[in-house]
Amino acid sequence: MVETVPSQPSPPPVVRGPQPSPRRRSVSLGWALVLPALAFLALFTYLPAVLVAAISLFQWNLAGFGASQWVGLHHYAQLFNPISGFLQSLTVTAYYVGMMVPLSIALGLGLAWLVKNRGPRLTAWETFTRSAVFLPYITPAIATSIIWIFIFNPQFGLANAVLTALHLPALGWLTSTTWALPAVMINNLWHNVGFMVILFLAALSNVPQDVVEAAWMDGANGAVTFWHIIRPHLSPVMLLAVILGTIQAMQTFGSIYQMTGGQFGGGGGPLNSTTTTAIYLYKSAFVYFHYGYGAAVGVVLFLVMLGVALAQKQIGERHTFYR
Amino acid sequence: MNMTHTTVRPSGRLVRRWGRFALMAVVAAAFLLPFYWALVLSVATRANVFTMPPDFVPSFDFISWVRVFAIAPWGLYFLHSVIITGATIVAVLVTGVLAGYALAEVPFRGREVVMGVLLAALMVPPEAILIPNYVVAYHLHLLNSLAGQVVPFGANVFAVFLFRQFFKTLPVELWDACRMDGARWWQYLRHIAVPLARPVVMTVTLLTFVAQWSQFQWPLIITQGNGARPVEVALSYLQGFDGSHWRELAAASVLTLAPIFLVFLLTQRHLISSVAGRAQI
Repeated sequence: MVETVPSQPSPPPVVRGPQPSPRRRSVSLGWALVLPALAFLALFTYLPAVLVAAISLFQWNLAGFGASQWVGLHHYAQLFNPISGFLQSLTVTAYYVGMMVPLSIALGLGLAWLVKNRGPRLTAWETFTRSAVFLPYITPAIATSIIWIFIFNPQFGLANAVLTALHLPALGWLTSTTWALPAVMINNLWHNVGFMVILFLAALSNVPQDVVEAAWMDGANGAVTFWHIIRPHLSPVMLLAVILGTIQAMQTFGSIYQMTGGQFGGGGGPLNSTTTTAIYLYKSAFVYFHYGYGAAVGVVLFLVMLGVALAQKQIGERHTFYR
Repeated sequence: MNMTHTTVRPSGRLVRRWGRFALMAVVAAAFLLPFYWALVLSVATRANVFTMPPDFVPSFDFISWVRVFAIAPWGLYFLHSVIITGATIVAVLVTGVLAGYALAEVPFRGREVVMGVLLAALMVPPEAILIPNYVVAYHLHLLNSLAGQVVPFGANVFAVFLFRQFFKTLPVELWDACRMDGARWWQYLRHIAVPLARPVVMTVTLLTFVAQWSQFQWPLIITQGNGARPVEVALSYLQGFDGSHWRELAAASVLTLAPIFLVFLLTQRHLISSVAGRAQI
């Protein structure tokens, strides 16, 4: 209704310079308007970001600092003692992230290429396939993880039915220390790849078509065209995909928890083979109630993620064209 | 060589085109198969659940749908999730509109600082501050409550920036005209600026809905018992205690997926472009 903004013969454009209202009022108005947002963030982002470091130095009691016992850097010393299992959780996380990021990028790029519109308009098939690939991304991870638990059931699941049909040996999947994490990966690839597809679809539509055609004219084959013409145009998005993919993978919790026996001791089984740092942090604080120790894990996670993001940015800026 | 290339092309192109269609069909089927299987399992008879190879033909036995409602108060869990999601959407919209308006149109001292502070919030990984968030919630008496599942998500930096970006595009004359007519800033915001920002409101609503409906780790740690438990956590417990009851579990999973499916069907295009926009910041 309000869309009909009266387009009167407008006066020469007025630059919003000094407002007639006195400056002091607009200062207080500005602050008053940003205050609600800042208040929410202060309570559950800024304060916790400081608090996490403080808590990590205490044998924390929920009652507060007064009831907690100062232990200094003791928790950090524990972290790097192999017995605590923290270093192992970093290894599991590195394996998980190291597989998920390249796989989801490769699959995402391939699928984006497949559903990219060839003509000026999207066909019904392209739209449908895009929707099918995207849909899992917005579904709640617990509901879909339960379906994947059925799929990976060693006796009656779909995964082993497929393997048997291909004359391959059936696997123990979630009951196996070797295959539990790959099972989680398959679930999350399916769940999250739609996001990568959307990223790459936007990037592919920015590749100038005449340059690609010129390459074809000059006799370049598909692989050469992709590597020398299309890939450089994708590199800014590729950097974004690596960073976002890494952040997402490092924080994965729900699907791992649910698929690896979360309701029976916090997940991460069998034998800690799927205990990523996110699971490890959760268990430290909310299964064993070592809040201070868990906070120390949080600090390390914080630093690692910051370091990864900065490093990727550094490397990316050196190898990224067409910003 | 170039000659053969061009002569082969027409039939080659046809093969490639049909090959592409076939591949798209396979991909779409593969991505939808888990959902379909869950639906089939939820209406399977007992004999059709544990079979090898799995049975893909639905048998329309709705007993597990009846039973799943008898096992747990799903209506209550749904109510919780709806309240939490709805309240969060309102909070994110209000804080986003106000802050976005201030950052776009109200020049005030310290505006650059506020921008920087907001951007810094994006650098904090939620997983890393899980424990201090819990400590804060404990001291604010937010544990095991619905409010405790809203307040931590009540402001969203991305929403603030989306509204700021939009309000910056509104012509200055609009505000000037309103002021001439004696309107105050909140009247301008309520009757002119926000209605014009409807696409942004929609984007923020959809993204918040999807995020809150799927919220799991936070409600898992702050809720006990049925007092404030949302559907995702209830579902997780159901699997923990009744993992062998596939049909009921499948029915419950489909139940919590249904709202997402519905919203996706209704707002598909907007939802996809919202997610795409989310990535660009």
